[in-house]
Amino acid sequence: MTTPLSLINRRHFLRAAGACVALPFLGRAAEKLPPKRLVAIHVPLGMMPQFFFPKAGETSSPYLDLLAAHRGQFSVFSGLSHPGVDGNHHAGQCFLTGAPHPGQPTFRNSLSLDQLAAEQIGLENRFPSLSLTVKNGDHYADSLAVSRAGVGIPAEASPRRLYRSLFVAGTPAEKAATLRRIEAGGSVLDLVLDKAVRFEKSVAPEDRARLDQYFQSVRELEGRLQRSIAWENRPKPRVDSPEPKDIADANEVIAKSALMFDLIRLALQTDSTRVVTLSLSTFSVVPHVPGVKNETHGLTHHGNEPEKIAELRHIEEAQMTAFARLLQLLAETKETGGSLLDRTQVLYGSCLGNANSHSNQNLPVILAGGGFKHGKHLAFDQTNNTPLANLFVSMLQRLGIETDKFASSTGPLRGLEA
Amino acid sequence: MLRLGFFITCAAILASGFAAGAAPAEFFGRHCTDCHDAETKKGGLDLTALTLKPEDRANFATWVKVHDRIASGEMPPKKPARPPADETHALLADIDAKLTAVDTARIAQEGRVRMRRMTRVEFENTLMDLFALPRLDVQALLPPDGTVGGYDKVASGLDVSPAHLAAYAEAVERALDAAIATRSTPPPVFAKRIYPAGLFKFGGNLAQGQFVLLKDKQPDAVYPPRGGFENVKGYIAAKDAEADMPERKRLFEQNQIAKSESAVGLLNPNLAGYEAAMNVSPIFAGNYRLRVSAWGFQWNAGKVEPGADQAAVLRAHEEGKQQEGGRLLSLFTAPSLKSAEHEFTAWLDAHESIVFDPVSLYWMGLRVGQIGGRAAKYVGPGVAIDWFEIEGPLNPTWPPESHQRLFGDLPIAKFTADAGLIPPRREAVRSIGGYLPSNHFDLTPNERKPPLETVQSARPEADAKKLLTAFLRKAFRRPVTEAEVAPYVALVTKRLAAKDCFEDAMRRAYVAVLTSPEFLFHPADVTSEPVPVANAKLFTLASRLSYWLWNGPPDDALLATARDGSLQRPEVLHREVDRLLADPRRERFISDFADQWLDLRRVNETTPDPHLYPEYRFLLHEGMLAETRAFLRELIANDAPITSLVRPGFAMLNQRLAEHYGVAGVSGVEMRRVTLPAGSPRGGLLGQAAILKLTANGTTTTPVKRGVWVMDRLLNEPAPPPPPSVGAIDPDTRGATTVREQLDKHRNDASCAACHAKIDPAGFALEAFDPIGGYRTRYRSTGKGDAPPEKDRTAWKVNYKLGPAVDASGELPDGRTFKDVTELTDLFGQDPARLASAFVAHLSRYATGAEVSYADRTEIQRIVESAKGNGIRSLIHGLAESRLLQHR
Repeated sequence: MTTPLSLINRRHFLRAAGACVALPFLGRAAEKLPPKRLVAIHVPLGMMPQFFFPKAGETSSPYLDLLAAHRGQFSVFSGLSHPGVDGNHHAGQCFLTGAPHPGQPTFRNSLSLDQLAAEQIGLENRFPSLSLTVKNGDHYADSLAVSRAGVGIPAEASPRRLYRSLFVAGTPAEKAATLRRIEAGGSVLDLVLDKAVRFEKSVAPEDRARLDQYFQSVRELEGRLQRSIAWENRPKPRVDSPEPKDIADANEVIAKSALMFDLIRLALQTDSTRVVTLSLSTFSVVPHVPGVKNETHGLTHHGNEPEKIAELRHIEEAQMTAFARLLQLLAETKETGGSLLDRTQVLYGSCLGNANSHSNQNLPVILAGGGFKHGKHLAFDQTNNTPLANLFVSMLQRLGIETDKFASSTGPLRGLEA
Repeated sequence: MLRLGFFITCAAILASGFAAGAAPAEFFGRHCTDCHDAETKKGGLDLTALTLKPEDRANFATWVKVHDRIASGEMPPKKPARPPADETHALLADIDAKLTAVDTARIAQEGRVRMRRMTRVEFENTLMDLFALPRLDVQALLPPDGTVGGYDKVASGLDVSPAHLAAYAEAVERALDAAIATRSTPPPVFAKRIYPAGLFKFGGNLAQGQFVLLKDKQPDAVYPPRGGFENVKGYIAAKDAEADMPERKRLFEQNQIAKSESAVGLLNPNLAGYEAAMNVSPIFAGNYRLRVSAWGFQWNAGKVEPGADQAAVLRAHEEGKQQEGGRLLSLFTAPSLKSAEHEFTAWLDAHESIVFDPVSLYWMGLRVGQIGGRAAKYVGPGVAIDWFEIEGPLNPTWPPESHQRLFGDLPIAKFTADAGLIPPRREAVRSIGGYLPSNHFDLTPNERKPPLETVQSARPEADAKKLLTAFLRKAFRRPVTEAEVAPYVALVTKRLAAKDCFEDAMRRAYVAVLTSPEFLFHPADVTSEPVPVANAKLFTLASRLSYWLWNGPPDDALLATARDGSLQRPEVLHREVDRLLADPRRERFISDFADQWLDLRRVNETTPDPHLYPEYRFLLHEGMLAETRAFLRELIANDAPITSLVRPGFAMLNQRLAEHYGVAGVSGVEMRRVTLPAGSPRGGLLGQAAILKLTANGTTTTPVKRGVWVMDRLLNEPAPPPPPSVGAIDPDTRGATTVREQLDKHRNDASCAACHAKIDPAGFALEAFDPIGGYRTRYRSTGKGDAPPEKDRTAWKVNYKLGPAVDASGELPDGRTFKDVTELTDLFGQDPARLASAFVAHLSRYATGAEVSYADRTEIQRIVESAKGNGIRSLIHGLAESRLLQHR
């Protein structure tokens, strides 16, 4: 059986294209302004509104005071949510997509903010985006990142594995083995693509669309194989920080967050990626924080009992303090024309406005960095919320992506200026 | 052009006079258009402008809604005067006939089922069956499937993305790693009996006083239980905490306790995974025979006495994860003062560690072994281990069946690197160390660094062709032509030319087979011929049956009935359905169907507040899941009438569940059928703890969530989602107000009441059950309240109080009232046809992978009417024979 001519030509074209895959010139970063980046962090169990939100007309609150050192570098928002996104914890997988009714049996997710950004600004990097988490095995979305197909992108929970993929080169033998694997993978893809072409003849017209997805998937995997050949032959950046050890204890969620923040800074600094998402789940975790003895999700259903609220507050304050450290890391990393924080938009928020009542309205949201005019509390209507996706439109525009719409947005966010 | 047939039919329907101006419009004009006209447009519906547009799915859905609202009596609303019954009937008959005709034409044109890929679970099961692997854990590699109507078997929820293909390939590699033999001789068998006293953590725990050394069912005098120094309350002053330890350590050494063959009694549940580790970790993956001898006892401050039967588990923990989760190997009873030997076979992966956990014990607050008291003064239940045995890996044949499925009987021999041949990759042989010291096992040097061996082929192309032809038949679930086999053989040849060894070249081919569209997709078409194979449609039917009743591929016997054409005979079909239901693989269907129909997966989503529900631990969690599955199994096996779903008169229970439900006289961990007294709310779905837990949020119940579940899962009348402007209630567990009181605010609003009058009643009845399925007449609270009668009388510590009383009464939308959940289940039980249609609708979604469309309703009704006594098994047979399964 001979390979159809069309396939031979396509394969050769891809090979040739692979050799020319545009990879960023190593010295480019020094020649002009550093690239713009995006980091989106999700706190699935929310933050108690009475301590997070500033009172009307103010910009500080008990939690925001923990970020006092960076007051001029972030803005806080109230009165934002995704219209139609309900379903309490299910909304976690919609935090960056805005797809409505996640709890319903007919729910289909959609492309997330970070993946759109990655498509547009991430293709020059070894990793168009990084999807990270401190904890796998959640029932409601470990990962914020969702592909165009509406499929959640699995998140990496191991700092060690992440470090190795970013900074540790394989030995020549490993490289050779990888290239062989890629070649073998390519042969398999050739075969199944050909099978699909034949298979198509027996498929009813109404079913063609499903088979088309299969075709597209095979083609995209082929493209990725070609790009990975190119990257396999590129050296990885060198960093001073040593390889981290994974923390085994699931309750050390604050330490795990800190470890991930360190790696995010390194990844951005070395331009290994420009788009990162991170999920900071505390489900089924008794965080190792002084004064905390109970599991977090149970505490968030405090039923207004003062002892539970006090205990939960310890956890949430520890999380805010850890986030302050991320801002510190980014602010102190100098680049041409400013700091890493100036060039990186950091979104920090939750899909739950009130974990006790499972409300998905009035979400706690902070945006830091990215060169916006910060230091503000942008307060929107608490009864008729403004779409959170409006903030996403502003963020995309700031990344240099020409768009005026994302998911359920009605335009860019009023009052947020660059 | 393709739509012509459909279009012609629709034109005919329209021509027969259904457009505005015919009978419905008259009815609407008289009874409906006051509210549903162009200006008022109540609910967004304008009946003056509604014509039937057959090609428009949204329009069709509106007509279905109009029909259903009138048929249920919901519309027109009770006031003003209702239309005469015969007028309504005539209208409904007219609409029904038209809608059925349109829908039937649509189905004839495009089918009711779309081609779809395998679900995650189906993929894993298919690999397991193809490779004959008893265990394969690859689901977590695959992205989650979308669901439609709660079912992942429906095509529109099952996308294919690059992430899927990449994950499939990785999953297949894992399966190949597990299946392919890398040695010419079986790995050495490790067999050992292990006595507990010498195990790593056991010595420390014996010294600390958490564990006690027991001989002949009494404390072993050579190493007495730790005690002394306690004050009146049982506490020990910090300064005295370690005073006796040097002496205890000396005694431990002197009397060689580490070599003792005495039993060890555990008085506390496991704190961390390694507290009671068996210090065994397999070097080679495989099937192992495990045996343990254990018994229960009541410890009375230094004396062993009879008590309740206890329970324990053995778990396997992934390497490096001794503190997390672990997977259950076996749950067994530890009968009071009677050494029970429990034996089972389990697949163990390499380097898993095995851990014992006495799951029937609870923390009583006073942790034995520390300052809070010692064994000598402790009073409470305990579990003792006499010994533990392990033997394996067990390989009745070599190479194992899984390898033979891939390489037949080709020899395995030393790899020779002729002419640049690349060696296959091998994992190093090793045992794990660290705090789990050697598993008393000495590998010979040859075993530690075995020679590199691999499967040999003298005629690779011919062998590849033979092996792949056999494999493809099984993988594609039908006969394959030579032309279909050829590309895979060509791939093998190509890889051999690139210097892959035969094993690796064949691996590529197997990955290709298992990522090919013919493997991944279930064809929709049962009535046409996808490939030039005889009886193609029967092969498709065989797959439909097996992916329904086994959640996996058909076996050779079922495929044979397709090959010889006998599957089209009703008696053969009936026999095969019975055979599939009798086979152990039906457990995969029962488990998966329960997960999807009843939402059973959601039981794992919440952890109940330990202060309010201290009795909730692993044993109860495991028991409630086992109950619902055992219940379904029992109903199917006995062809129980459909009303058994709500009033079976029996429950499937084990000791822990019986204790939870207040049923006396049940001992041991096995599920068994227990007859219930008349009037008991237990046994049926609405009395099962798993259902009651998954419809709560761990700490509080909500009648709305439970009511929605009942409407959707039991009655197949799903409630519409709440309007977006509705605020959530802010639960208050301080005991001041009940959730029923809080909900009333919604229900008193007329616009909310429309839906809530249907949703809430069942939810209110189920308020009689707490978030873990326990029966209650008063709500538990952590604030105000009275001391509960069970305080100081349970094996766990009770710190909650009893708050306001539960009101479980309610009124159904048709006006019938009930005062408690038993009366409600009576009311449901009076309408078996309704329950049966709902069940068949749900079953058909699972079995056929399609939503129930309008034209399916008459078929479902026919299935229900022809099932004798509304038996559940008969309904399954009815569905198997119906056009819903047989046709596209």
